[in-house]
Order: sequence, then structure tokens, then C-alpha cells
Amino acid sequence: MTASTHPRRRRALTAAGAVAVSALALVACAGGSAEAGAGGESLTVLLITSHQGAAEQLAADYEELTGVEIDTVIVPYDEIGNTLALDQQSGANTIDVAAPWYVSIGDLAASGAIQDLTEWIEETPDLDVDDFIPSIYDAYTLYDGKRWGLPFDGDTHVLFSNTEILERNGITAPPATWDEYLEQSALITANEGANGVYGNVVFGQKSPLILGASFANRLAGFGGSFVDEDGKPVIDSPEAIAAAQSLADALGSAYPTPAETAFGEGNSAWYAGNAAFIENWTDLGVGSQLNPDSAVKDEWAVSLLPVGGDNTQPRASLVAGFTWVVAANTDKTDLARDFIAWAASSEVNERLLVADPQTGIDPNRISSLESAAYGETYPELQRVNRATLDGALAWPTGKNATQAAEILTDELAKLVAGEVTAAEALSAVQAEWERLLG
Amino acid sequence: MAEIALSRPLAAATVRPRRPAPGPAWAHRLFVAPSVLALLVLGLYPLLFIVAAAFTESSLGKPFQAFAGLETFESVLADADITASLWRSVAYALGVSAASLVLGVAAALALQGAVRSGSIVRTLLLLPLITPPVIVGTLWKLVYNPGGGLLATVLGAAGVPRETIAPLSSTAWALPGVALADVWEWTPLIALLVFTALLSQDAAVLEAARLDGAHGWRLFRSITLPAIGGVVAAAFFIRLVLAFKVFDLVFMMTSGGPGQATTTTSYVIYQAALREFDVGKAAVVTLLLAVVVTVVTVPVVAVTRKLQSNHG
Amino acid sequence: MADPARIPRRRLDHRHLLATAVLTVLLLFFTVPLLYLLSVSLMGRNETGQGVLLPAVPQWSNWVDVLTGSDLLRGIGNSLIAAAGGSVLTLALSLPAAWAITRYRTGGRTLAGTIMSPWLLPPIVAVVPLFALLRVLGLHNTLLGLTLLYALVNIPVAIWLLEGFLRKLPIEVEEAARIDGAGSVRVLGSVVAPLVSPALVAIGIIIAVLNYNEFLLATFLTQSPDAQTLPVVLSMFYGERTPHYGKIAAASVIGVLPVFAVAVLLQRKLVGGLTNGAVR
Repeated sequence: MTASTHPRRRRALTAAGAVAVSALALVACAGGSAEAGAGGESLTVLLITSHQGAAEQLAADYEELTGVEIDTVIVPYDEIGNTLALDQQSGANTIDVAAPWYVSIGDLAASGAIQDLTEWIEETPDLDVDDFIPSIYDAYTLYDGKRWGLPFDGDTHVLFSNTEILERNGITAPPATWDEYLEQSALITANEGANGVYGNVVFGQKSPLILGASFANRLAGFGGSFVDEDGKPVIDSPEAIAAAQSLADALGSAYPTPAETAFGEGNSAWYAGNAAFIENWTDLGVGSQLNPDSAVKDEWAVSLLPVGGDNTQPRASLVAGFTWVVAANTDKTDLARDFIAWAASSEVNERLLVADPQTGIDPNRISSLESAAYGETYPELQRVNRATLDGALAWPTGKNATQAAEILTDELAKLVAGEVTAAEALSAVQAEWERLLG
Repeated sequence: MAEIALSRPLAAATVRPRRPAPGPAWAHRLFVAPSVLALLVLGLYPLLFIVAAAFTESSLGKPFQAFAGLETFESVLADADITASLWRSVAYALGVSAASLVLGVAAALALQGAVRSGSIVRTLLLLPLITPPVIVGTLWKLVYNPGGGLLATVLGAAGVPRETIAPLSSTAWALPGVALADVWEWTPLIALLVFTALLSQDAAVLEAARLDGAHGWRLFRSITLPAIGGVVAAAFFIRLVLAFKVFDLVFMMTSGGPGQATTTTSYVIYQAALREFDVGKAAVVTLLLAVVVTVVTVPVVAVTRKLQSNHG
Repeated sequence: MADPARIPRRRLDHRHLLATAVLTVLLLFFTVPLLYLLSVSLMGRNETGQGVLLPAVPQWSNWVDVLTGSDLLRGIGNSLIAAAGGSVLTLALSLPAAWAITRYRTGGRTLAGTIMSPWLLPPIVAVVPLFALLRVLGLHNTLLGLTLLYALVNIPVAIWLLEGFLRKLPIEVEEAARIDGAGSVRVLGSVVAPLVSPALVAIGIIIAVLNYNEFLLATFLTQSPDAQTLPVVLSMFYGERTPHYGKIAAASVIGVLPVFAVAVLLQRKLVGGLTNGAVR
């Protein structure tokens, strides 16, 4: 701008210019401070919000052990996959290590966002991979015949029951089948719904980790699978349809309202003592004891997920589950690998299992699962987590698995909304999955 | 030049330049250069990317893997959910914009005509506009909280059983619920723009008309409405575009549910690109949305320009 | 100088009463939800969503926890910087362009017709190429990068809004300056800018508000807390294992306070600017 003949105008323009310049300067300074602290090494680790507690503990412990500073980047659980993919694809490369949902491993590997760790694992016997819970190890790390990570958080669902509510309604044992679950839930809701206490919580919010989990739990119970041994979709099998129908039947007695129930709402209802049955990760038991908001301390029981249909063998359902991966473009490969080897180790897992405040981590290794500490502090949780040793239902994890999970969730959401029948929903999914997963 | 200036003594207030520029054209080109840059960086460059992605197999982590021709277009157009979302977005955008327009104009007129409408009132009216959409979503989610939010509590006091009030879980009421939040948020913008247009009316003309005996509805229709028509149309256009782009509210309040009830096209694009990692599909849907938005807004823009040029 | 919006009232008639009634209803509609948000921010965990309108005991701890236990304040700071910085840049870039386009048809029909086009669509897919561009410039995950992007993104809106005001300017003043020998830059800086400065302030405020509220670009283009803006920080509260709606509400109220304060202070300028922007 040129100088003007009016002093007032000049001042105004100068002021505006000064504001602009100082704003930019401030911004540049603020941006500059995003660099790692001067001196010592650091590692940037990407995690979901639920793992923030675990992240803080891991960062503190690792720094104490090695002096390396861990910078944690926390994102919502729906965003960790795309954050890592975008970071690597664009060449920004700010992330060194991440713990995404295991279902996205195939897509991340196929797009070159994570490192192939097969050789490193073979050459490092200290990793003791045979100690990883077998059903978890393959599901969480194997894609295209190669290993892409180390399991972090086991994350199977089990059934929690509020023993007080059961007692009040004359129920002596948690349901062993999904039909019993429906009956008991309906009874409790009929008796106590007016007081804001409901039989069951159904996680129905439209997200794979949430609504997908509710379905997967029932699919496991009915003996169904997402795909067969060859990886071909079998999502419209009679067992799957029965499972979806069971989910739909559970909506009537559920804590209002399933479509808006995500972890926050569901867990809050449980902690407040307003729900009799909830499927959740085993650390809900830890929370029930330790969480300051918990009104259900010592008033809960945990059991394996119910069975249904012709299936009588309870089966673990690997609904969430997170895997440590190393970003493909990191220049700190050795440090990153050292970190995940440590973070996935038995001692670390054991410590996270019994930590107070709770970290939300589940066993990933046989040794930590069977550890004395875990058995003494949470014997019930140890008992139910053993179910993972007998085989578990895992989501498909290959290429396009993430999209497949979204498609299933969309159709299940329509089922929850009452817009389609169970059979219609799943045959639509089957058609899409055949196209995507082959 | 001087002669031309002298020959326009009477049309002082509403002059429109019609002839080409005196003064160096390079200066003007320099002036528009940043905007052209914006156009290139934010318009052309992403557009090229989107078009390229639409015709290839592209994932979030690895764009442009293989040429796919029209395959993605075919599968997208065959997807009933996606085409439904386009219709839904159009209906939503038009509905929300019309409601905002009516309420906004009403608010502006009420502001002008009310007994006491000082700074405080005007500030209060602006508050929804300056609330971040993320917070608007949070706020209305609390209002609609099943069985216990503001809406349920108020209706409960009126006798309706509280547990039955859960708009965001109802396929019929979820979209209107989101729409209400959207209208709440943006109506003040329209009110603000229309109000200032009302104030800028030529007082002399108004007085003359009043002296001639026109008042009330007649005054409004023949003097006020034409005067503010350009602004109203411009505001409606902005409102329409904002309504097509609505994302934050859906993201915070419903994640597109229940079922597909609040899955607008922008949410479809988000889901495809960032949750399903399918950038090719997202690109195709973006292009389809572009076509739809253009078709809907071209008439609005035409009307706006016409009204603006008539009355300034 | 008198408030341009205070129109003298002569008598109370049914039109005025109707207007007042309508205004009251609208005011309630706009403010009650915000009051509810304030109320929820003071509620305990067992009160939110339980049919309670006012907390039994105000839980100021929500506010304290949110202020001390999260990156909220830094997010607000980042938002303010990006909003204000972006807005000033937008105005600086848009005014010359709007003037050239309105007065001299620079760029012809093409520019005028396409200038709004980037603004029309949700920028979701554009995130991918924009991310790459910022990375190439070394500006990814920085507040500076986001600010520059905001500056560019709103140029179309600013031009759109400015056009209306520029059209109303009498051409004689500019012509007089030209006769005096002023070049285009001089005319713009000394004649046009001062005449539309109230409108500039108003439009600048509107754009700053749009920037402050922007969520999509900010979420994907800034990951670290150093660069995260307020909407991004807020979205994180939801991912907690048991989100406390009282705290989320508290964070929301704190988040809007700066903007509300600005609105109160600048409201007069906002209305005045948009009014005076029409010649008078």
C-alpha cells in the first residue's frame, strides 16, 4: 500500500499491517515450537484417546528406562487409521510408531504406510512371539503372509452382570445363551424401566468399533464367522442372520437409546448402576472397582459371552484390539522397533493390566494373562480372558477390510433403525463383501 | 473524462461503472493475483486431483494405483444409499435455507420494528452464529439427549413421557433435529445481513412513500422488498452453500445415523475417504455433489445478480 | 455519533407490539439453548441427561478440570491466531481483487464466474492434495500453514460480500483522484479503502468467526497439540472411555467465551460497518 495524504488513514493501514505481520510472526513461532525438544532423542507415537492413560504410563516408564522422550499424539478411535495413512502418504512423516485398530493392518500395509517386520521378528528371539496369545497374534499382525506389528491391547469382549439388579429380579446366574439374555433383559426392563434401570446396554452407535462389536459378540456366540478359512465372506450364513436377529431383538429392552449409545453413554450407565448386562472389555471390571464414578464396586460378575443357536461352546470375540506398528517412512526404525518390543513385552503388559488408575489394556501374552499379579488382583477377569486361548472370532484384516467393516456397520445401522430385516441387511453386506474381499 | 463526469450530476448515489478502465491494467492484475492463486490452489489443483482420483483406483494411503475408467462412477450411481444421500442433501439444503431465510427476515424486521432493540438484543441474536459448529453439535446433542435432555425435560413437564423423546434415534426426526440445530446456528447471519440492508434503505424514499399513503404490507412489498432483495438473495445463496456442506453437525450429533437418516452427501464423502480409505469413491461422489450444487445454485446466483444490479 | 440503528419511535401500535413479540420469541429460541449449555457445564455426572434443568450444586470442578487437564486453552489460543491472522490476510488480498473485478472487470466473466467455485464444496477430498502441498512447503501440522490456508479459503466469500458494497461507491470520488494523477494503487489505498473500511471491519469479523469455527481442515491438517485448534481439542473429549458431558459443556462454554466477548465489543462495529458500507 502506498503512503496516503491522510495521517489517520496511514495509521490505520500501518496498524492493520502490523497486526498482520505480528499475527504471522506469532503463528510462525507457535508452529516452530512443534519441533522435538533440543538434545535427547524422541519418538512420536500415535494412539487413540482411550489409550491415553496407558500412553502416559508407557511414556514415563520408557523415558526412565532409556532417556528417550515419547511424544504422544492422541486422536479419536475412528481417526487413527486415516491419520497414519495421510501422514505417510503425504510424506509428512511425523509419526514413528502407532497402535491402530488391527482391522486396518491390511489396508495400511497395502498402501505402504507401515513396515514389514517379518525379518526383524525372525531375527529377534527375545521378542518371544510364541508367548503371544495365538488367536490374537495372527489376527492382529498377519497380512499377506508377513508380519506387520506386535499385539498391544488384546481387547476381547465379555459379559458383565450387575449382581444387585439380578438379585432384585430373582435371577440367580448370568445368561448362558443369548435367548436367556433376551428374556432376562426384558424382565428387568419391565420391572425397573420406570426407575431408569434397564436390563441391557446395546452399543448401537454407527461406528465399526461400536455397533460392529455388538454384532460380532453375537456372531461369535452363534458360531458364525465373517469369512471362511479361505478368506471368502460368509456373512449371510444362517448363524450370522440369527446373530443379527438376536441383536435386533435386544433393542426393545435396551438402555435408551441404542442408536445413540457409544462407549461413553453405555459405560456411564453401567457405572451408575442403571444397567444389568453390558458387553465390554475386561477392563470394565477394573473400572468398576477403581473408577471414582463407579457405583457398582463389588456388585458385578463377569462371564463369557452367551452362546446361541446350535453352538454351545463360548467363543471370545476380538472386537477392538490394537497393534503396535512402525511407520514406513520413519528414520528412527531401530528406536521404534526397540520401543514396540518393550511395549509389547510381558512385563509391560502385566504392569498395564493391574495399574491404578486403570489403563484399559487387556492381556496380549499368555505369560501376562497367567501372571500371578493379574490372578491375585482380578481373578475373575483372568478366568474369562482365558477364553481367548481357545480360539476367537476376529474381523477380516486384509486389504479393503476397513471398508468392509464400514459397509457392515452401515447395514447393521439400518437394522437397528428398523429399516431392513436381518436377512436383507446381511445379504446386502455379502454382495458388497464378495466384491471387495474376493 | 471530465465531460463524462459532468454529464452525470443527478445519478450520484446509484452509479454503475460501465466503461473499461483508465489506469494500468497490470496493477489490476496484481490485485487479483492472490485471488487467482487461491482459485488455483484451492480450486484447480484439488479439482485435478479429484478428477484423477475419480477415474483411478485410489486409496487414502496410495492414490492412483490403477486406471479404473468409469467403473467407480457406475458403482457409485448404482449405490442406492449414495443417490439417496444426494436427494437428501438437496432437500435438507433447500429446507434449511428457506427456514433460515424466513426466520432471518422476520428477525430483521422485528429488530427494526420492535419497541426496544438496542445493542444487547443484537448481540444476543448474534451468539448462535459465532458458536463453533462443533459446540453447536454438542449443545443440541445435549438438548436432544434421550429421556433427559432439555427437550425431553420440557416436554416431560408438559405431560409427554420423557423416555419417548429421542429425536436423534428416530429415522423420521433425526434429520429435522439436525436441521433445527443448523437453522439455529445460521439464521443470525441472514438476520444480520438483512437488518443492515433494511437500515441502509434510503430514508428519503421511505418518507416520500409514507407521505404518499403507503404503509404496512404495501410499503414493505413495493419499497422495502425491492431495496433489500439483492441482499436477501445473496444471503440465501451463502446459506444454501453452507447447508450443502454441513458436516460438523452430522459428525458430532449422529454419525450419519440412525440408519441412513442423516447421511448427507458430505458425510458420505468423509466416510468414503477417511473411514473406508476409498479416495476414488469419495472423488466420484464429490464430483456428483458438485454437479448437484451447481444445478441448484445457478438460478440463485442469477437472481442475486439481477436483484443486485437493479437496486445496488 | 448516534447509533445508526436507533430509529426513533413515535408511538406504540400493533405493528410494534407484533415486532416485539416476534423478537422476544426469537431471542428465547436463540439464547435458551446456550443457557442450557451453561447449566450443563455445572452439572455433575449423574445429572447430565437425567431430566435435570439446573444443577443441584454448581460443579465448578468441571471448569477447573477442563482448564488444567487438557489442551483447551492452547487450542483456543491457536484458534484465535488462525482466525484473526487468516481474516486480516483475507481482507488484504480480497479488497484489491474485489475492486478490480467490480470496477474494471479484470479477469472478465471467467474470473467473476468461477471465483466462488472452490468455496462451494466440502473440502474433504481436497484434504489429501492440500496436505501434500503443505508438506512440500514445510507447513504441514503448523499453525502458519493452517492460517495461510484459511486466508485463501475465504477469499471468495470476502469478494462476494465486498462486491455489494463496492458497487454502491460513487465513482466520482475515484475519478477525481485519477484526475489528480493517482495510480490504481493510490486510488485503492487512499480513496476506496477508507470509504469501505467499516464494511471491511464487519466482513473481517464474519470471516474471523468462520475461521474460528472451522473443523474439517483443522482436524486433518494439524495433529500435534501445538497446532490443534479449539474444535479439534473439543472433539477429543468425546473419545474418552466415559465422557463427562458436564466437562464437555464446560469446555464448550470456555471455548466460546473469547468469541462472545469479541462479539459484544465489536457488535456495534459489525452492524455499523455493514450499514455504513452503503454510502451515507
